[in-house]
Parts: sequence; structure tokens; C-alpha cells
Amino acid sequence: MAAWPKPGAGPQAATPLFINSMMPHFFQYQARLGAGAAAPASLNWANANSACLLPFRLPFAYVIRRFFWINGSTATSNVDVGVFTMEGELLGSLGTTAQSGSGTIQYGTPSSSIPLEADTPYFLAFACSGTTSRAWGYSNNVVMRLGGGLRIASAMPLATNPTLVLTAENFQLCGFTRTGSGF
Amino acid sequence: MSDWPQGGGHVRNTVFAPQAEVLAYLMVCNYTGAGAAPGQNVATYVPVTIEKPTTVTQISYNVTTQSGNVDVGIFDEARVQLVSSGATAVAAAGIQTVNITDTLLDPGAYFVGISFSSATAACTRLAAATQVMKAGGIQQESSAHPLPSTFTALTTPVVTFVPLLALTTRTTL
Repeated sequence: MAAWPKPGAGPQAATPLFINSMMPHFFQYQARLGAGAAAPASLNWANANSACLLPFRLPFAYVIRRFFWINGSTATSNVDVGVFTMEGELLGSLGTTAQSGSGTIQYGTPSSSIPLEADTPYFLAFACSGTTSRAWGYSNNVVMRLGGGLRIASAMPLATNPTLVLTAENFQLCGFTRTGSGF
Repeated sequence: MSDWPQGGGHVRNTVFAPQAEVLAYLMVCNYTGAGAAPGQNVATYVPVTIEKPTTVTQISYNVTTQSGNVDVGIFDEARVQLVSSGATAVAAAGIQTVNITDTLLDPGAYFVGISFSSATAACTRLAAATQVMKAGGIQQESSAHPLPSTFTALTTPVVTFVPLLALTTRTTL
């Protein structure tokens, strides 16, 4: 590994409070730009108990203390959110969590905070046990695939070293914060 | 002078809020918009990341409809107010530059807050869905004119309103 410091890797880097899957740190962002902008909305989940994996890379070190997502109009399922390495190792996750509140943001706190290294690619994973109108995202599987998105067929709860396959899921709106509370 | 290491390069003359990645996110979500009234006494708090120690002297925005008063201010990531202008008459249509006490911001995450006393007053903004605003870290609070000493964010914003705000380090913009 190069001894040269990674940009923004030091403890003095100023980092944002909120990072979500539709920001430029996520690889699907450019695919979304190329496919044309569109407003996210409450969507069906393609396959019950499956997970979508959204690749991203941050230019700074970051510590995840909460995950969030936007519940759809039918918030009656269980979800799980976590972070995997590119090799499929689960670094941390919420565990199975009941949805609460239709059409609103929902936060979940992992049992341990999850440190991410600067300039290192990871997957953010979102899994859902139901299908109809469960969460917000883009209804565009092409953007997911061209942006390097993958899928876990059976993912409730998320587990380490799953089999990663081509995705059939939509582009999910979810993310994480470095704050444990306050918003 | 800040104790924060200065590093190389120069301090920008203006820092835009929302920060670039939030603005990029809202644009790819296809949210555009001209002027709109944010709602009487509703405060909106827009995230911004400061990269270098920066002394902010003014906060600017673009008025599209003049009415009532505006209050603008800066909050830290714990939602505590660092500075605000206090109630100031909304200017005629065009860029309004509001003076604040010169305030040194160390690198970190902040919120720029704005609230209007009138439901008629309007400014240039993006019209993002409230859920999308929240996922981008944009916060709102009702009954918040003038801006409070510490803000309490609503679970879901009440107005589709993301104002475009500029923190400036000069006396002219």
C-alpha cells in the first residue's frame, strides 16, 4: 500500500453529517445523470427478503453511527441496512428492524459504530422482507446495474460473505450519518 | 486566529449552501424551482461543510417577493446557534446581503438557517420533496422566527423549500 497519505484521510477532515445513496459518492450517481434526472418516490421492492448493494467510496474517513431510509406508503415490513466490503464481508448492520411510519424518514442505530476508510470502496446494503410500496427510490434497474449495484437473494437479516448476484432491485434511497441523535 | 491548521490554498470568498454534494443530489432528483414562499415562521436549515477556517461576514440570498422580515443565521452540527442577523426587513427583489457579526468557522459541518415572518415573502429555492430534503440533511422547524438559540428539527419538513444561500467573507458579493 502506498505510504502517501490519502486525501482527507486525517482526523482533521471536515465531513458531512448526512450521506445518502443518491449523492455523488455513490457509483450510481453518474449512471443516474446519464439516464436523466428523476424524482424518487415510494416503490415496490422487487423480491421479498432480498437486498440491493450500492457501491460507494468516500474521499474522507467516516464513522457510521446511524443508518436511515425513507419508508414507502406501506411501511409494514422488516428491513435491514448494513455495509459490506467489496469482497462481501459484512462490516456492520442494523439487524432485522420493523418499519415504522409511512412516508417518513426512519433511523436505525447499529450495535457498534462502523468506521470507514478514506478512498476505499464499500457496498451499502438495504434489505426488505416485503414488496409493495415499501420504501423510496428510483424505479430504474438499468441505473443500478450500470452503476455496479448487486443483489443478495436471501438477506434477512444481512449476513457476512453472501453470494452476490446481478440485481433486479430498484435504486434505493438510503444512507447514514455520523451522529447518534439529533435529527 | 483559529487553532485549526491552515494548510495550503486560499479561503473562498463565498461558500454556498446547500453544500455541493447535497445540491448535486437534489439536482439528480430533478428538483428545480424558482421563487416560492417558504411559509410564515417556518425555519429551514441547510447543511454546509466548511473546509478551511473561514470568517463569515454576511449571508446572501435572492429575494423574489418582498414582504415582512427575514432572519438568517449559522448553527453548529449540534444545532446550536452561533450567530444570527435578527429580524431584518426583506429587501426588494434581487440579491439581499444580510450582515451578521463576523464569525470564524473552523472546518466542520454547519447549518445555515433562514426564516421569514411573512407567508408571502419568497426567495430562489429548489422544490424538493420533504422526505428527500430530510434524507439530504436539510431540516425544518415551525414557529421559528426569529431563529432560536438551538433548533429542534421536525421529523418531516412541512414545506418543499430548499433556499439557495451564500456565506460570504467579503463586504460585497
